Amino acid sequence: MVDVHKHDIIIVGGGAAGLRAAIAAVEADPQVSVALVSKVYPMRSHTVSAEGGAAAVARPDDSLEMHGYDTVKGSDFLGDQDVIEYFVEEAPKELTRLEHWGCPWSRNDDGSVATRAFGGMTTKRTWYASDKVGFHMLHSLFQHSMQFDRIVRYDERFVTQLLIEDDGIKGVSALDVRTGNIEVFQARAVILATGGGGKIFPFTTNGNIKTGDGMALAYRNGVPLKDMEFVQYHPTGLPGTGILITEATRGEGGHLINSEGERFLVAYDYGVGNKAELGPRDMISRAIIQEIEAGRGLPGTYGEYVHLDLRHLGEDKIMKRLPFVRELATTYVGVDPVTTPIPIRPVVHYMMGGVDTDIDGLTRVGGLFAAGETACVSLNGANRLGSNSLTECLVFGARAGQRAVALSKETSDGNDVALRKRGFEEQERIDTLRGKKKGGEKLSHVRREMTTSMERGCGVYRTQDTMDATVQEIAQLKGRFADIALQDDSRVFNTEIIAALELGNMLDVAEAVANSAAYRKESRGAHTRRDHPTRDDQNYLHHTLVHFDPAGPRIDTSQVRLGHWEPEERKY
Amino acid sequence: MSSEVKKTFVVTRFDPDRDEEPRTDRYEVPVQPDWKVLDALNYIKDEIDSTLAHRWSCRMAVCGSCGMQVDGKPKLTCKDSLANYGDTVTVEPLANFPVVRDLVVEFEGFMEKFKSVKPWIIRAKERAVEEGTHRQSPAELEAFKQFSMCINCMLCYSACPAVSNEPEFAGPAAIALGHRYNLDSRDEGDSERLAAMRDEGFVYACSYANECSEVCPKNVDPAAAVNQSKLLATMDWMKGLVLPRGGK
Amino acid sequence: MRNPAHPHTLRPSSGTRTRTAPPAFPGDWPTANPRYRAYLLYGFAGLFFILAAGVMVRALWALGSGPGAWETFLETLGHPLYIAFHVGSFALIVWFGWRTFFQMFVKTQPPMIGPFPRPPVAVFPPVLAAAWLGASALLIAVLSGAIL
Ligand SMILES: Cc1cc2nc3c(=O)[nH]c(=O)nc-3n(C[C@H](O)[C@H](O)[C@H](O)COP(=O)(O)OP(=O)(O)OC[C@H]3O[C@@H](n4cnc5c(N)ncnc54)[C@H](O)[C@@H]3O)c2cc1C
Ligand code: FES
Repeated sequence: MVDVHKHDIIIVGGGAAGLRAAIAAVEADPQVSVALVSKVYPMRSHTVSAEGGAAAVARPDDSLEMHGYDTVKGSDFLGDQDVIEYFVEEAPKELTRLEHWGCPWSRNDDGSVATRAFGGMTTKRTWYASDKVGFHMLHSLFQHSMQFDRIVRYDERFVTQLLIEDDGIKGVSALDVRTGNIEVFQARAVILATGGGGKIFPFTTNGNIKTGDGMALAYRNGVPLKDMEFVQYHPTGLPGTGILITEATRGEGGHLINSEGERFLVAYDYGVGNKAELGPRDMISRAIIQEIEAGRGLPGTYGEYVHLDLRHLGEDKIMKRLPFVRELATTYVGVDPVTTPIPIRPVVHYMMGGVDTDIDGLTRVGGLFAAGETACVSLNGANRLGSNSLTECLVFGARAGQRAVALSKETSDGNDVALRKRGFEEQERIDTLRGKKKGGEKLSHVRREMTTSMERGCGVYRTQDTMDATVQEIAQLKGRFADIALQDDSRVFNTEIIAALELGNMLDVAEAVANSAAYRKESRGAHTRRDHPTRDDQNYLHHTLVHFDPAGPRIDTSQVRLGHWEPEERKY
Repeated sequence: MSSEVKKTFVVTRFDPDRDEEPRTDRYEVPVQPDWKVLDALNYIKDEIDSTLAHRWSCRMAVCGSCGMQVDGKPKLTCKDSLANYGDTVTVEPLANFPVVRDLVVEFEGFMEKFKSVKPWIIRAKERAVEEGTHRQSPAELEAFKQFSMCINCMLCYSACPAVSNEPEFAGPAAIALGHRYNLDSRDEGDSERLAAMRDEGFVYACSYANECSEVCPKNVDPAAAVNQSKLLATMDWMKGLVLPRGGK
Repeated sequence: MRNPAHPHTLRPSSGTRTRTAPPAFPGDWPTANPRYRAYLLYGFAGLFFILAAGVMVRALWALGSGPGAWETFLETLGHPLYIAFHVGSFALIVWFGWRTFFQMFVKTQPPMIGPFPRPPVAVFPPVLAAAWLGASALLIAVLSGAIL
């Protein structure tokens, strides 16, 4: 037996993007029936870990024009400018809505919403709720969504397949983690809001669930992934765990210090000029690596690091603005930032690339949308500015939700019998895979080799040789993955089979990243090559598209939509 | 790394398809000095026994997935350092919850309680986006902020003797959340929520063990929320007696 | 082994979707955790107060039965067991009052009490202590005949 659930719209993912899409859908039409399918309870989604803030113009000394320009420049001119213009315009409205829904934004004395400085932003436009912004946004969205009976949650369901017919998507199949059963979800529009895939790297700020599932699902079903070579390294992660120390530490005035005790962003020329610690992430991450290579790092168990110094901010300010940073540093590296600088290293943080969509979030498969980190609507280009991403989840989650409602009214249901049959087939596949003892490979070891290969080939600095080697290694690992042995044959809460499905997805995402990176022979934003150190607008001012093919990925390109901001040298 | 030591982990195992009741397995794990309890569980899963089931994600004490009993006490395992424990460490599923599998507990019962406090802003008239944000002074924010810090990790439920005995009790985290909205200057739904809170056992089953606040990893102080809610719910009821139609 | 909790503890209203093992009490319940011991003692303190009330009733009874009975009653109060009981009750009620007022009462105050903001939490203990001392002094004054 395969259970079938029928709805108008399916949203896969309960993070900021998925929840906002769900709410937008029922706001657009209170009668619409929405399934919110998520592999973890929504409040566990990794949006919860975001610390620093969400960007939107709020102050009289700021303007949409400035936010737009900062974003275009941050993207190293690879962002689509129509998308960026729409984004900056909607951003304040979305954050205001969230305020109405209870988000506890930090306040100025007069009761207005407070904003803080962030890297690459000209003025204070990052809204914050101390340093637990993602946590508060996610919980506010989730709690607000609970009042709508038309949003039906299916928690701890792992989506395994997209069910696509000739005229578009008609549903998804999902593994009910609790029972081990496959369920078929039928609808006329599907929104993927499954977040990023930082877990393809060994050292990342991302949680265990960030395995790029939505990207892999779309990729295998004929939707190309766009700009996947652009992987953001956040300058300040804790050595060992990779836990993030938010950019807000620098926004509030923290300094980066090398082993000589110098503020190296001021002492040496790294292109960030007088912005110093408030420069964009790609540049600061590179500066840290160069400091370490120049012998000005400090030695540690997990490799060399530099210091983030907050001592001069004082205990009061730290407790008011950055209490979580203090908790994290104390708990995970045993350092109290009030009295001691925090050891930090650049760490994989965010994927600028993702499922190729238009400005509505619509992909080239009818009815299939993507939003949030899993999508590449081309807001972030080659480098995302800190605090644009949470806002992106709201702006484009909402837009996808509204468009999905409209589109679901124009399309027809899928074929019941055929969809149910796909469900049966999927159940069979899962039953065969579960506890499959035959095989010579170990899941956790294949996963580890994938992550080390990705770090070697697609780190902060890249060269053709190392990228080509990683392309090869990932292809081999995909072969070895087919031969993994699984031990757990229980149906109930089998986390081993989930890990196996996730690894399959991660290998596809890793393949897309490595191949896209090997293709782009220039340095732009987060994609920095030692063998091609400069930007090449002549040949590479375009998006990279990577298409899935069982025989090996195929690279293709699409145009960047420029507008009233002309590409220029990116200097701060 | 040289400074690793070996510790024995005694871990609860339960597979409803095979086991009549929970049993334990023992694992010997080489532990690094900076490891948390969760690191050892992940080591077991990756290197020794991949059939072990446990929930986790963020490993930075904010997603609330990884609550378990460690040596009998409820802990957030990604935050709880192994240096605090001896050579043998027992890891069990959270107390007071039905056990689904191994270290995974039934979460749906809590989700019902969570929803029953109406954890969303209730207003007679919704504010339009064009009207901009509400004004909320830093003091008004402070009034409820602490109660908004709950990560739903469920440690409080597993520590509370009232939860063990009284199924009607809404429990610490749910009540703290309802209270958070009651105290929010933007909300107008308090009498609705307080009426629900007067249902049998809902808040009044609490007899102040205060253990929820002791084990809370985020200093939410749910015991304060529960006891303040008792007072507010009772005052609201008396107001209804004295002033017809609840004084509205 | 595991001490079973109420079988419906945190059970979804429609039942569990797969077979579950029953919920257990916290591992250190009831006495392995000092805070649970305090909690239980707080609950059981009621029994002590009933006993103390019994003594009171006995005193009234003796008073009603004439001076002889009253004298004998006063004599029995000198018995070491009685003294131990009274010392114990006194200590218990002091602790009970401290837990009730200095811990529970303080926590029970919402940030807004009607339209009035709660005074800072830090002011509660000294004010309560002053009230307690004042009330005790008044009581001692009355009992010792210094006033009234
Ligand atoms: C540590 C950290 C700090 C950050 N700080 C900031 C910041 O300060 N400002 C900012 O703007 N951005 C920040 N970011 C980035 C931002 O938080 C994320 O990009 C954003 O939260 C992504 O949200 P999302 O809704 O797309 O995905 P997520 O929140 O990751 O949610 C993904 C959802 O998809 C579900 N899902 C995934 N796969 C499946 C599947 N196969 N089946 C079913 N469901 C599935 C998951 O259960 C989950 O509910 C930060 C990121 C990190 C990691
Ligand atoms: S893993 Fe998220 S709280 Fe521990």
